[in-house]
Amino acid sequence: MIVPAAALWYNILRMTAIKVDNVYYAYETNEGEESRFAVNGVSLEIEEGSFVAVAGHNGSGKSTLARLFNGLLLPDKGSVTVFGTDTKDEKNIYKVRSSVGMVFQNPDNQMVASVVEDDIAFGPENLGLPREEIIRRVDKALEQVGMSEYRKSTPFRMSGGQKQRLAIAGVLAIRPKVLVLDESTAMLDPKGRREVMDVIHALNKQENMTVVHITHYMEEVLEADRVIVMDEGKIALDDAPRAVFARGEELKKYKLAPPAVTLIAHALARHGADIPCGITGEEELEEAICRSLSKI
Amino acid sequence: MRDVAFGQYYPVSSPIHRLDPRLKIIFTIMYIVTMFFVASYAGYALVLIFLLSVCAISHVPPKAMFKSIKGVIVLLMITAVLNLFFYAGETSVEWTWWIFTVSPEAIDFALKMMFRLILLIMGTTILTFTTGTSELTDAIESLFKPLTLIKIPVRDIALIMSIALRFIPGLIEETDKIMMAQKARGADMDSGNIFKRIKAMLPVIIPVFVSAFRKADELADALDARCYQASPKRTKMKKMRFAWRDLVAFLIFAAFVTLIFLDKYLWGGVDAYIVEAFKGLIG
Amino acid sequence: MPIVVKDLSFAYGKGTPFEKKALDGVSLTIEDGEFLGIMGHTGSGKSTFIQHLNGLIKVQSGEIDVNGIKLTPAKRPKPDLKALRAAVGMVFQYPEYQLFDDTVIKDVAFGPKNMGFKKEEAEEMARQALRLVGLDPDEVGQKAPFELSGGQKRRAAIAGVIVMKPKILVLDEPTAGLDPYGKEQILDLVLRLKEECSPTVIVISHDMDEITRYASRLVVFGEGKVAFDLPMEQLFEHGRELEELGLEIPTAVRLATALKARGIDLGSGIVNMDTFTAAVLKKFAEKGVPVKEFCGIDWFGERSKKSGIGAADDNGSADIFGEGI
Repeated sequence: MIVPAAALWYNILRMTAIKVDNVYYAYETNEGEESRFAVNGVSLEIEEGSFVAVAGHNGSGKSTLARLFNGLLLPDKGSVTVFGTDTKDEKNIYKVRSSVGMVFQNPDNQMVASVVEDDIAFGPENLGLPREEIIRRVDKALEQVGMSEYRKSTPFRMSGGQKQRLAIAGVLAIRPKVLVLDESTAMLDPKGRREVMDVIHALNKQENMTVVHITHYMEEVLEADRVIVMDEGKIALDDAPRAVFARGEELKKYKLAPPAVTLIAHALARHGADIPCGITGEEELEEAICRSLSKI
Repeated sequence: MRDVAFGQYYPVSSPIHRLDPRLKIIFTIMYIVTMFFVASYAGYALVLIFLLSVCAISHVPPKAMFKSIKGVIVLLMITAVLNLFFYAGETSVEWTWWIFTVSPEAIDFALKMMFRLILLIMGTTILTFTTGTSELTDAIESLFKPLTLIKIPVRDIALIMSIALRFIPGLIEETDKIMMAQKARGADMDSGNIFKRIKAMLPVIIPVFVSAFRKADELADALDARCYQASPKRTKMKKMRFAWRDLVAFLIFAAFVTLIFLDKYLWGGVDAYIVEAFKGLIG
Repeated sequence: MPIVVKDLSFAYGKGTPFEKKALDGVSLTIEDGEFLGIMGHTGSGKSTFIQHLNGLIKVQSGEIDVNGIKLTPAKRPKPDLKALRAAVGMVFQYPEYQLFDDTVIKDVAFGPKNMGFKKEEAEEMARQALRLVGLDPDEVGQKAPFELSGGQKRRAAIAGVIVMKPKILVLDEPTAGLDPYGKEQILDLVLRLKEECSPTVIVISHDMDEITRYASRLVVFGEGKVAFDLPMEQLFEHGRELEELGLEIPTAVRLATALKARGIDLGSGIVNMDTFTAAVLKKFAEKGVPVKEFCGIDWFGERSKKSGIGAADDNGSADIFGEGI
C-alpha cells in the first residue's frame, strides 16, 4: 500500500495555482448581433511551478482565457479560482491580481513612467508598500531580468527584448506566484525573444514561478512542460509538447504547424524514409537519420 | 524620430538639472509673471543675459533653445504684424501708407511684445530641457498636494500627465510611420491650400486615433494588472529634498526678479537714462 | 527595374545630441525579378534602407537609382516622386494599422486616386487588387475595414499597395504577429504577387527558416552596413558572425552540419528545410529505399502545381511552388 499513499501525498502537496471550472465568456456585441463565446466551456488546472504554453490560431480564445486568469475579465458562467480565491470575489480582486502577474504583447503600451526604476516601482506603490520595501523590490526585479544597470535610464531607446524584460520586471515587483505572458514575444526579433524566454525559464526553474506563456512560436511551445491548444474557444489538445506535435496532421485542423524539425521529420516519413514523425529535437532527428541510413 | 525641440528633455548632468523640480516649476511660473513687468529694452536684455547664463550652466546648447522658437515663428510674425497695424494706444506721430498706419509707439509695442513672447518660450523650454517628465509630474503632484483636501485626485491627475508625456514620443513615431505608409501610396500632404492639407491629413489622423485607442486599451489592462488602485494609500519610492543649491538658486532668481521690478516701478524703465547717458557721451 | 544604391549613409536627428547613425556606406544592386530577403536585428538599418527606396527618406549622402529615377542629396533636379512611388510599392509592418476609409474598396482605391485616376477607374483597380489578394470585392468591398478579420485586414492593406501594380514590391515583416497558418497564407500571397504583378520583391524578415524558403538572395544588415551579401550556401558558413549580429542559422543548415560531423555528407546547396529534406531523401534513394517524389514541404497542403524543389538558383527564381494557392 505504499504506492497509493505516495500518490495521495503527492496530490495533497501539489498545489493548484489556477483552477478554471467550466468557464464561458462572450464579449459584448452590438444589438442584433449574435454573441459568440470567445471562451466556450473550458475547464483546466494549472499546477504551481509548471511551465504551460498556450497555442492556437488568431481568434481561438487564448488571450481571453489569459485575461480570465487574473480577473481582468470575469467569467459569464463557471468560475476561475486562483490559489483558492474566486476571481469574482470583489474584495479579493487585488489579491488575485498580485498573485497572477500579466505581461502583454507590446512593451511600449505597458510602461507608465519614463525612467526605468519609476516604472518598476509603480506596482509596489499601488500596493501601498513602505518606501524601503519598494526599493528592495525594484532592485530584486531588475536583477531577476538582468537589467540592473539600466535602473536610471529611459526605456524609449531600448531594444524590444530589453523593454519586454522591463515589463516583466514591472510585474515581478508585485511578487506574483504566476506569470502570464500574452503573446509577449510576438513583436520581438529572435534575439529579443531569446532574452525573454531565458528570463522566464530562469524564473520558472530557480524561483518555482508558475509560467503561462501564450505564443504563436512553436519552438517556444517545445520548451514548455505542457501545451494547451485552443480552438474555437475550447481546449482542443492538452498534453506534453512532444505528444501534441506527434499528432501530425491533426494540428492542421487547429491551423497550427509544428516547428521546423518536426516538419522535416514529418516530410521525410511521409516520403518513405524510415523516420518517426513525432520528433521534436534536432539531435533526435540527426540520430534517427543516422540510425535509419546505417540500418540499410 | 523627429526633431521635437520643444518640450524635450536634454539628458545631461548639470546644476540646473539637479535642482529640485518643484523649485524649477515655481521659478518658471514666477518667470512668466515677471515677463509681464519688463518695462524697458534694457530689461529684455537683462532677461536674455539671464537666460543665456542659465543655459550655459545647464549645459544645454543655446542652439537648442533658439530652435524652440522655430516652431512658433509664424505665430510670432503674425502677432507682431497685428500689433504693428492695430495699435490702439496714443500716438505721437503717424505714418500712413495706403490703409496702413504705423507709429513709433506701435513699433515699440510690437517689438516689446515679440521679445516678451520669444523670451517666454525660451525660458519655459529651459524647464523642459532640464527636467525629466517623471520629475515634472512628481513635482506637480507634490506642489498640488494640498488640493487633495478638497477631494481633487491630484495623484491620478499627475499619473495621467506622466503617462501622456510618456506616450508622446511613441505616438509621434506612430504618426511618422503611418504618414510614410500613406505617402508611399501617393498621398500628397505638403501642397495645396490649408483646407486641402487638412483633408489630406485625414488618412493619417484616423489611423493615429485608432492606434491611440488601441494603446490606451492595452495600457488600461496593464494598469489593472499591476494593481492600480489596489490600496487607498499609494506610497512613493522617491522623496524630494531641498538642498543648499536650491537655496542659492532661489537667491539668484530673487535678485533677477527684483531688478526687473525695480526697473519698472522705481526707475520707470532705464532706457531713457541710457539714451540720455549715450547722448551725453557723444554730445 | 534594377535598383542601384551607392554608398548610402543616413543619420537620424542629425546635429542633435540624439544623432544616431542608421546607415553607413551601403552599396547594393537589386536586379529585376529577384526575391531579395533582407535580414538584420532591430536597429541594423534595414528599415531605414527600404524607406529610402521610394523616397520616404531624403538621401543625406550617397545615391540611389531606381530604374532611372535618381535620388541624391541635391535639391535639384527634383526626383519624380509620384512615378517612383507608383513603381515601388511599400507594405509596412502591421499594414492593417494604416486602413482609414469607411469602406474597404475606398481605402484600396486611395492610391490610384492620389495618382490622378478617376473614382470609377480607381475603384475598378481596387476590385482587381482585392481579387488578387484573395478577397472577394463584392463580399468585403463595402464593409468597413474594422469588420474584417485580422488576416483579411492585412490582405486588404496589401491590396491598397499592389493596386498600383508596382514593379517592385517591398514588404517589412509581412507575417509579423500571425499564427502559422496566417503566415503561410501571406507568404503564398507574396509568391503569387511576384508572379502576377510585381516581378521584384524585397522582404524584410526575422525568420531564417521561413525566408530561406522563399528568397533567391539574402542580404544581411548589421550596424548600418551590408554585413553579408553572399550566395546562401556560403552565407551560412559564417555562422558565428551571423549569431553575433543577432541572427539565427536555419534549422536545416544546423542539421546538415551536424550530420556531416556524424559522417553523413549531404553535399552543398542546403539552405532550407526543402533542400535538406530532398538531400536526405536522395541519400535514402541511393541506398535503395523507395522514396516518393518530393516537391517541398507544404504542411497545410494548399499550394498547387508544385514544380520541383528549388531555392537559390542563379537565375534568381525562387518560385518553387508554382502559382501558390
